[in-house]
Amino acid sequence: MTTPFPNLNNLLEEYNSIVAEAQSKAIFVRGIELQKKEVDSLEALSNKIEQAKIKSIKEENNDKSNFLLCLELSIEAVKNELLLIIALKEDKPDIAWDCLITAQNLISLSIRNHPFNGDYLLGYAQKLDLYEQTLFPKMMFASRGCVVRKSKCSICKKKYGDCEHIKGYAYMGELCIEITNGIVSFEEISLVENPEDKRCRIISFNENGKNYDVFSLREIIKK
Amino acid sequence: MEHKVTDFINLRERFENIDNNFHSEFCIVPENIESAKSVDEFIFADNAITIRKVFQKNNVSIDMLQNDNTAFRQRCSIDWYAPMIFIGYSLLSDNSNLVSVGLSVLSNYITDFFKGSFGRKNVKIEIVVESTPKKEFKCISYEGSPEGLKELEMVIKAIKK
Repeated sequence: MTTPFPNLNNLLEEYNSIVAEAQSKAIFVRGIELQKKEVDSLEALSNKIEQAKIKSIKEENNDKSNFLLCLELSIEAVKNELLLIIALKEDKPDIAWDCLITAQNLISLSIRNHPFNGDYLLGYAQKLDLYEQTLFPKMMFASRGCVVRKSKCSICKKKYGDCEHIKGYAYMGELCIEITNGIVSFEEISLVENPEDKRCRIISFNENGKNYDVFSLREIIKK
Repeated sequence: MEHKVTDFINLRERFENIDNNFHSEFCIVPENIESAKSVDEFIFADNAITIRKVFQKNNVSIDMLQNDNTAFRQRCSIDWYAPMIFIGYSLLSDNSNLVSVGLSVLSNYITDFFKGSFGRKNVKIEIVVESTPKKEFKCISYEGSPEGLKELEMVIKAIKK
C-alpha cells in the first residue's frame, strides 16, 4: 500500500510488515504463544499510528487523519481476528464470537472511511465473513425497536440534527456516532436472523427442562 | 426490485391541518403522518436526520417539519429503513431531474453504508407521490437492494398524471 503522504512512508512500511507478520500467525494451527505475541506487536503499532494521527490532527489534515484512523481500525480488526483464534483455542466461544463481530465492524468502518479507496480490504472482510459461516452455528438474534427523542453528535456535542456530521463517517480522524439519550418508549424485542448488532444473540436454549449453551451445547448449570 | 403502489391520504391537506405555514414539494414525512394530531406527535424513521444531512451534503435540499419534541423510531435490524419521502406534483413537472439525483444519492449512501458487510442487504422505503395536484396521492412501497432504488425513478414518473 502506498499513500500521497511521503512523511508516512516509514510508518507505512512498518505497518505493512507488522500486519503481514500478524496475518501469517492468524491461522488456527499456529502456536498460541506466537499469536499472543502478535497481539502485543499490533497494540504497539496502533499506539504509534495514534501518535501520528494526533500530529496530523494538529496539522488539520483531514485526509491524512482519516487515513491514519483507517490504519488503526484495520490493525484492531487483525488483532481481534487473532483474539478470536486464541479464544477458540482456550474454549471461550462467547469471547471468540464477540471478537469476530468486532473485527467485522471495524473493517467495514475502515473500508467506508478510507480517503482514497478502501476496496482492497474487501477480501479481508470476506475472510471474516467465512469465519462466521464455518466456525459458528446458525443462530437467532434479538433486535430492539424503540422511540427516541434526543440524540447528540459525538464530535461536536451539538444536537445530532443541528450539525453536518453524519454518523458512521470520519471527520479529522474521529468517527461520528449519534449518542441517543432520550428513549421515549421501548416498542418491541424481535427475534431476527439478520440483526444490526450480531452481539445481541440468543445465548442458550431449553430442552427437557435443562438450559444449554448455543455454541458448546454444554448444559448450563446455575450456580 | 419489488414494489407496490397504493392510494395514500391527501398529504397536502394533512400538512395544512397540522401547520398551514408548511408547504413543500420535497420533504421527509413522519411515519405516523396519518394519525398524528400535531408536530409534537411526529415520529420519523431513525435515519431521517441522517438522510437530510446526506442530501444536503450532495446539494439536494429536502424539507422536514419538526420541533424539539419530534421523536424517531429506532429499529436495530440489518434491513435499512429509509424515511418516508414526499414528492410534489410541481417538482415532478418542473424539476424531475431532482428525483433521479435524489434516488441516486440515497442509493449511493446505502451502498456505502453496507460496504464490507456480507449477506442479505435489504432496503425498505415508502415514497408518496402527488399524482394529481392537491387531489390524488400514491404511495410506492419498495423493498429490495440499494441498487434497485434507482429504478424507482420510472415508477415515480409514471404515476404523475
